[in-house]
Amino acid sequence: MNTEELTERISPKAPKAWLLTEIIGDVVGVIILIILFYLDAYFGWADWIGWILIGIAILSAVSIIYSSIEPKYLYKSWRYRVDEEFFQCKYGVWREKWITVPMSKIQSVSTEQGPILRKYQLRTIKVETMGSSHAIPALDEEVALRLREEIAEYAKLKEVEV
Amino acid sequence: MIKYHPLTILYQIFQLIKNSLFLVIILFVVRGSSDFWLLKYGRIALILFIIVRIVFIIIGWFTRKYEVKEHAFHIKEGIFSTVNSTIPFSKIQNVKRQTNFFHRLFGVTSVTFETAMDGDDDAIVFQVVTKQQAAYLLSLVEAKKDQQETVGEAEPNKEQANKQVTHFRSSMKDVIRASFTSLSFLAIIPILFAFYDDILPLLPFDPDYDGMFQSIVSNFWLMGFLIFAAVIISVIIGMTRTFLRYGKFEISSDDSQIFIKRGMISTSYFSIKKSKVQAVEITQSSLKRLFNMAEVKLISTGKTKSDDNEQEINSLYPFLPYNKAMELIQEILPDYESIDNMERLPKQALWIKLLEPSWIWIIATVALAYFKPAFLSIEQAWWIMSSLLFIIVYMNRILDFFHTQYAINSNQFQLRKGGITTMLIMTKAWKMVEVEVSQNRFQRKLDLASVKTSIRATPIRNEWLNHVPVIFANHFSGWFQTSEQKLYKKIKKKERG
Repeated sequence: MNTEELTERISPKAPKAWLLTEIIGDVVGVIILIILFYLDAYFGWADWIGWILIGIAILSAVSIIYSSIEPKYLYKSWRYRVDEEFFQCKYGVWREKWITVPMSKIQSVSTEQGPILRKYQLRTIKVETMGSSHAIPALDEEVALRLREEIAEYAKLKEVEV
Repeated sequence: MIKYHPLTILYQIFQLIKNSLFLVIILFVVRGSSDFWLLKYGRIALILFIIVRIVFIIIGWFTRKYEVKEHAFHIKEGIFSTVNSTIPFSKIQNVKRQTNFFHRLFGVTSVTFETAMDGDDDAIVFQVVTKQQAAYLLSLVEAKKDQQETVGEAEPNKEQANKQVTHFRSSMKDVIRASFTSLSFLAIIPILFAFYDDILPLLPFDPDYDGMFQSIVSNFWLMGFLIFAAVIISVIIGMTRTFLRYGKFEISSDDSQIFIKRGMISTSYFSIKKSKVQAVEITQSSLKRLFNMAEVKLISTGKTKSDDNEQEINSLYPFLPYNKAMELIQEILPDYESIDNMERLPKQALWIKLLEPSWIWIIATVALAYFKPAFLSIEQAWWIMSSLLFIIVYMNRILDFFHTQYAINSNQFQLRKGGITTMLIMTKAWKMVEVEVSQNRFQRKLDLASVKTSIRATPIRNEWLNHVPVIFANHFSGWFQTSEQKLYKKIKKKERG
């Protein structure tokens, strides 16, 4: 894909933040699974429930392994570019996506920060059009705030009905 | 501020009765003698609900008011908390005027102005208005819409200002064609089957009689006659239905708007400003493809489904000969052109399409294998169904590969796709909200990519074009950016001058 123009990268702290999010999610998931296995053995639930639980366990194991590798590669794949006319971003490990949104079609822009991003002093930029929303995850705080102002400025400049 | 037409109350009560009729019949007639508690309380709840609704309808009428100002509608409504809203005419996407049986009875009509500027639907509805008032409202809005500036469209030619031209009027031939392609005459077959048992005793022989040959022969003539009569009746019924629905269909336009009128008993009128047309869609079912016919729809951000009519009101005549349909589009929307030499997908795309797992088939097969439903007491039915589904899914994919064609010119994108039903969509670069180019690992190996465009509509329409050469995908993204830039410059120029 023709994405050489897209040069900006997200914060290098991103993989760490994502990994932490994944780990928390995985721990919660594993605890729930253990409880279910315990209940299954204790109450002697039907056979097929046991099989489904084993299936879920295998799938979760695979996804835990994958999600511990993914953040690094996802970070590497991320590029974006914001100029007077377009909001563009490109990312994806297995499937690479390159999204172009004209500034005139952007309806709102916001920054978001959950507890984990706060820990790393990162923010997510969220851009909404009339039917979709796109996010640049994990930008350094000052970059994110500046970018938000920039997008708001560019998008407002061209509020024209077509 | 003035109140809506007083018949609105009657109309809403009429609608309420119409909508609850089914429940009333179930609760009071079909299961009228049942003492089951759910039904008993259901009856009371239904009566209470209807009474409350009627009270609300009446109070609602007293509290709802509107006013027409120079450039906008002012609307005030609400029983407990009042809401005041102002809707400028420029936000109106399309205009509908429908006259159904109720309106006809009282010599009135209804008008709906669809706004839905940014995806939220917010219509201004006059459920009952006098014909004069309707005409007045329409003239106001349609005239005001004219003055609004058009961006990106060709400048309307001032010399032949506002001359309304009729492009299409359905003829008897069209109705006949329509009733055959819509297969509406087949509707009678289930009724025939239902009556078959009733007809048997009337036959002049006992079907169980020994003289098999005799009975078959006499049966043959009798059945032949019955079938013939049934076909005639069903054709007549089908044609009348089609005639009532699509008869008197008229498409006209002036230099800024398109008008569609149709219907015999319930009539409807639809008007849309040309610049509010977001895309044009031409669909062909396999049967229509066989007869080279097509249905053309104008895609806009206003809601196009009407509440008491399952038909989409934005459809130009659904049974147009394909060439006539294309001509019509160019007549009413001169900005659009049909690009003739479209590209086809490269061969590799077919392999990718075939190798992709079909989740529908996998899930269906797993479910079938687990439950093993015995259909018509055939035990192997589950894997027969599974293989049938497999064949349908893959047939559709192969057909889709052969049907897919795409092209772009200076500002128009045109895409044809679909397996059993095909669709051709035409839109302009500036009508697209965004463009996404994507590529997975397989595609990268084969130098292919996928393109997704989002067209403004309610809800937003995403059109996928999968497995095109990566060169085209890049070209497409570049094309989208250049057209946007051109538009941007145009706007800037307008602002300055």
